Amino acid sequence: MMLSLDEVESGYGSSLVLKGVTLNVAAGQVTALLGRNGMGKSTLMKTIMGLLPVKRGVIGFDGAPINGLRPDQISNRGIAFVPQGREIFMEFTVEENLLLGTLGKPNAGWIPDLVFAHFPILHERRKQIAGTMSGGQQQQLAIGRALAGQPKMLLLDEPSEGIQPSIVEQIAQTLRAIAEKEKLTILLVEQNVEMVLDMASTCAFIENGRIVATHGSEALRADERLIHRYLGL
Amino acid sequence: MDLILTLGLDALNFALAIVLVAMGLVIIFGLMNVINMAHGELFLLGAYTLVVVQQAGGGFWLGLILAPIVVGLVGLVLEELIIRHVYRRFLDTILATWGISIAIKQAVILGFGPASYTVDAPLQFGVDFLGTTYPAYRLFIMGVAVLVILLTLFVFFRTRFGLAARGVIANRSMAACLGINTRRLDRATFAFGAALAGLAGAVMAPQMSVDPQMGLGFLIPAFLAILTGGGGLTGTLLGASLVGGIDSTFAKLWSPVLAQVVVFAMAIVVIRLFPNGLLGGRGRR
Repeated sequence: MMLSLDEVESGYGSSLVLKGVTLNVAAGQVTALLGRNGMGKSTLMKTIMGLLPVKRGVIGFDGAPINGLRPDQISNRGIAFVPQGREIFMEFTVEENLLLGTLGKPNAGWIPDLVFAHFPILHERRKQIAGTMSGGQQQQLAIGRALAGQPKMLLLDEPSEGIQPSIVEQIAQTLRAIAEKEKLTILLVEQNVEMVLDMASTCAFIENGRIVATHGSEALRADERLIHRYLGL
Repeated sequence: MDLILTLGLDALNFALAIVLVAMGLVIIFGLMNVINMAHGELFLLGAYTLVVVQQAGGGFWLGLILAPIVVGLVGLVLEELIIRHVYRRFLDTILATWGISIAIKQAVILGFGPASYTVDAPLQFGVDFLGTTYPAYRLFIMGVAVLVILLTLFVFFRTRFGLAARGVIANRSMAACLGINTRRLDRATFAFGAALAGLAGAVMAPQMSVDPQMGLGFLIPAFLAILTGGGGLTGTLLGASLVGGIDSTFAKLWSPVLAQVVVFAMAIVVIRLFPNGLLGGRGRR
C-alpha cells in the first residue's frame, strides 16, 4: 500500500467531519473517492496533506506514519496536492508557478521534462501570467505544478470542476497517461462519474465521514445501480 | 536655482531615508501580516551598535557592517521567542511588538542612560554638484538607500528565496502544500527585515542624536509613507516621496512644526480619498 488511513478522525475546530476513515490506496493505481457533497471528501484530502490535524488514527505513506507532520514535510515525502479550485498563483507566470512546485524538492529550481511532455501548452505559455489563462489551462498548470516536484503520489480534488466538457475529456486522458507512464499513485475526488470510471481501478464511497463500500470499476460499470445507491443520482 | 536644487536633494534624501526605514516594515508586514511596532527600536539598536563599536575603538565602517548583523540576530531571537507564537492573531502581534519596543527602549536606558550620544561620521566634506555644494555623507545615505532597494528587488524577484517568499505572501497554505517550509521563511524574513532596520539605524546615526527616543522620529514617517502609498514596494516608494518631499520642503522654507502639520494633513486627506492608499492593492508586489 502506498497510502493507508486507519480509523482517521478529523474536522474543523471541535466538529468532526471524518469519523473513523479506513482507506487503502494501492501503489501505482488510480483510486477514486466518491460521495455526495458534504460527506468529507475535501476534508479527507486536506487531512492527508496536513492542513487539518488528525485527531485520532494513523495515516501511513510509503511505509511511515505522516500524521502530525506539516504540509511542507508531507509534500516533500512525495505527496502532491491539486486542490479544489486549483489555487494557482494568479499573478505569477506559468514558469514561476511550476518552479514553486520544485522549491522544497531535490530538483529545486529545475522543472522536470515530464511536465512539458504531458502539458506542451505550459511550455508554450511559460512567460504568460497564469491568471490570464482559461480554466482548463489553469487546471493543467495546477497538475503540472504538482508533477514538477516529482511526487510518488497525486491527490486530485475535483479536477473537472468549472471546465468545459471537451477539455475535461482531454485532461482525463492526460491524467491516465501520466498514471501509466510515471507509475504514479493517484487518489481522485471527482463528481464526474464518467471520468471516474474511465480513470480509476477502484472506487471508495464515503458517507457521513466513513468509507461505506469499496468496489472495482468493472463491477460498477457492469451494475450502475451500485453507483446510484451511494450517490443518490 | 540653487535653492530649488538643494530643496530637491533634501527632499530626495529624506524620502530615501524613509524608504530605508520602511522597507523592513513592508517586508515583514507583506509576508507575515505582522505590524512590527518594535521596528523603531530595531533601528535604535542599529544606531547603538555603532556607538558601542566606536567606543570600543572600532571605526564607523566596522559599525556599519556589524549593525545589520547584530540587529538581524536580535530579530531572529525575537521571532523565535515571541513573534511566532502570535502569528495570525493580528491585534496580538501589535500588542506583542509594542511590548518588545518598550522593553528594548528601557533596556537601552538601563544600559546607556537616557542621554544622547553622537557618533563620528565619515565623509565630512562637501561635494560640488551642479553648481552647489552638498554634504557627501547625505549623498552616501541616498546611495545606501538605493542599494537596499535594488538588493530587495533582486532578492525578491531573482532568487529562489524570493520566489518562495512571494508564493507565501500570495497563498500561504498552498505554498506549504508545495513543500515550502513557511516556518523557516518567516524566521528568515523577520531577521532580514530587522537587519534592514539595523542598517538604517547605523546609516542615519551620524545625522541625528543617538538617544532612546530616536526610533519614533523615523517610524512615524515610515508608517505614514506605507499608509498613503498603499503598501508594497512601489506604494512605499511613492508614499515616501510624498512624505519626504513635503516634510523637507516645508521644513526648509517655513518651519519643521508646520512641515509636520502639513504632512499629517496630507496623510489624512489621502487616506480619506483613498482608504487603501494611493496604489492600494495595485502596488502590492
